[in-house]
Amino acid sequence: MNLLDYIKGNRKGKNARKIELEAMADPFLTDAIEGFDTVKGDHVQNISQLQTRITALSSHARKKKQTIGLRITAAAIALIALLSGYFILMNHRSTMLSAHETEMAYINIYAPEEYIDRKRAELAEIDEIYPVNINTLVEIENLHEVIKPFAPMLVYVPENKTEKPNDSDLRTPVSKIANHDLYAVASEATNNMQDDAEIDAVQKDQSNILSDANISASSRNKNLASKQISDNKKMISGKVVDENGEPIIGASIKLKNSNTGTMTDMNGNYSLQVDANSPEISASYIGFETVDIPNAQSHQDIAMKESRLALNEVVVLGYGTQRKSSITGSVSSVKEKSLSEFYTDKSKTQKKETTTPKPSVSNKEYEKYLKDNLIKPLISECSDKKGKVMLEFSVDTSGNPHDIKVIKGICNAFDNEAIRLIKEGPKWIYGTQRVKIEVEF
Amino acid sequence: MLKFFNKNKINKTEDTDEELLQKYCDSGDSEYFGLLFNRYTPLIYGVCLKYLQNEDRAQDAVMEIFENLMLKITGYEIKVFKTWLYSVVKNHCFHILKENKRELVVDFDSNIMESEPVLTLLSEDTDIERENILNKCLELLPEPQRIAVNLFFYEDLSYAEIVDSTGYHLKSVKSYIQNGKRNLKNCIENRTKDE
Repeated sequence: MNLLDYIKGNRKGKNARKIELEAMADPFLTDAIEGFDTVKGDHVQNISQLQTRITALSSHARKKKQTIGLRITAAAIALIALLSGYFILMNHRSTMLSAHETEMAYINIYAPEEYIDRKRAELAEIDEIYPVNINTLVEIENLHEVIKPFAPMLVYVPENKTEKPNDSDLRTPVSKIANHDLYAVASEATNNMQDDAEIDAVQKDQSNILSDANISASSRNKNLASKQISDNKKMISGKVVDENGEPIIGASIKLKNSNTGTMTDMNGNYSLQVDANSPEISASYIGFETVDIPNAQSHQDIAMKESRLALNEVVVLGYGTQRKSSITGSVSSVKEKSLSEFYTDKSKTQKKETTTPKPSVSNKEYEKYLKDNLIKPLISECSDKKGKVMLEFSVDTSGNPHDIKVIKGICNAFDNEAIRLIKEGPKWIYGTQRVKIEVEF
Repeated sequence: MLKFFNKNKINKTEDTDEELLQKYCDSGDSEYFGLLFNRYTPLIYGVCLKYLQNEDRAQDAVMEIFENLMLKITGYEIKVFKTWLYSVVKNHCFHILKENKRELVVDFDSNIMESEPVLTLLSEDTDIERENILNKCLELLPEPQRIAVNLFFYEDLSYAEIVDSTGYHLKSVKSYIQNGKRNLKNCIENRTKDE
């Protein structure tokens, strides 16, 4: 029968009696019926609502697990997609790197495609109307607005004069008007290139950037160099290689007692002007031991040995460290030699831990020792005293208690006796913490 | 994934309480617990009404008990679910009452359950001897008790019908029946001892 019917008020008939009979043996049912009878309300409806809520809650809990599973799957897929996307994009190589690898002396500088096309079209038009020859070359008045001039970055001095690339390789419009002295490159691209260049310079401690403009500049330098040779200077050149005979690119060759220096090129070759009287040079490269050559020959090849230390150059700031590659400002590196002392002393930088000293015998034995060896002083001031003396002491590395202090004493004689017991007692195992101990009198 | 959707249809009414509870403990699927609990929701609500004397508080109490049990029940060894649940509900209500520092309603009457033997005696005829004793003792009952007992146990009337028939109040009917049963029990025991 439906209890609900009974609750509703159906108190007559066989079914009702059945419930009443059942209630006689069932206190749970009795109490419930009493509750329904003593409190007013639409009980059947309330019960129904409660049951609905309960059903909802118990299946909701299951669904929760479901959605959690779905969410985790979705998150995982999103993560995988992100990572794949990232790795795919990372396949794009910078022009710097590709230039380095193909050993090109030149690096393509890119301007936005549409800009180039537009300008080409314009120039083509101009070309039709005013065919270009040197005589009819017209200066573009607002060129400086369009293309920002910049000072050529001269860091790389090539040994051999390299070929000028084809006009089609360089996509800047400058190549067509480059006959005069405007060292200009497409502005947008330049800025990026300069930033990248600086970072790269720091990264490899060198710069291999060479733009169209620089060639003329460098060739000028060369003339300068040959001019100065006559003033009691001489040129030293050679190749820097590592232990396997492989050329070291970008090694720094410095003239001692001077700020002048140079870098080795793609083939490991360098040339440097030195004072004929004291041709002292040194070659350095990160990760390698610096080589000093007091009397350099005109042709001076240098072999360098790898250093033990890790190649990851680290800039030490006041409060932390930062990988050099992530810095865009200027940086000075710490010489390897001064770092070596730091590395060998690693053993001294152990963390301090606190340990608890323990008696060298078992705790029980120690307590037994205390009991057996206690000599209770028979001094008048302590005659009717009893209790526990609490001491605190440290244990030194030889296991002896020292620096014993009385935390809670009874009377002088007892305290001293307690101290004597500890001092003369079994040794302790060294620990850093202070020990507290009670001696009963 | 499909198993989330293709779960075996859970049989609502065939499992015993203890079986259903075991299924919940084994699988952790809260739907089993919901089904089990809902079998007793009316009773639980009723008991809460009795002690808390307030619909809203009783409803809150039911939901609290549900949530608490769903979490904790797997940690218990329960032999008979119904009786265990009953004491849980009562304790919860007492706890609430104590917190509100209201008077605890202590019933001396309604929870005295009669022992089985008397009921079976009244429902079945076991043997002539016992029947005779029973009849004798019935005669010895005070009249209202005799009438009430007779109407309930022999005429199979419900309380309400007995009220209609006798004119006694409902509470009186209940107490006549209860006292009548007790007296019968004592009388029968005495007489059975004698013989």
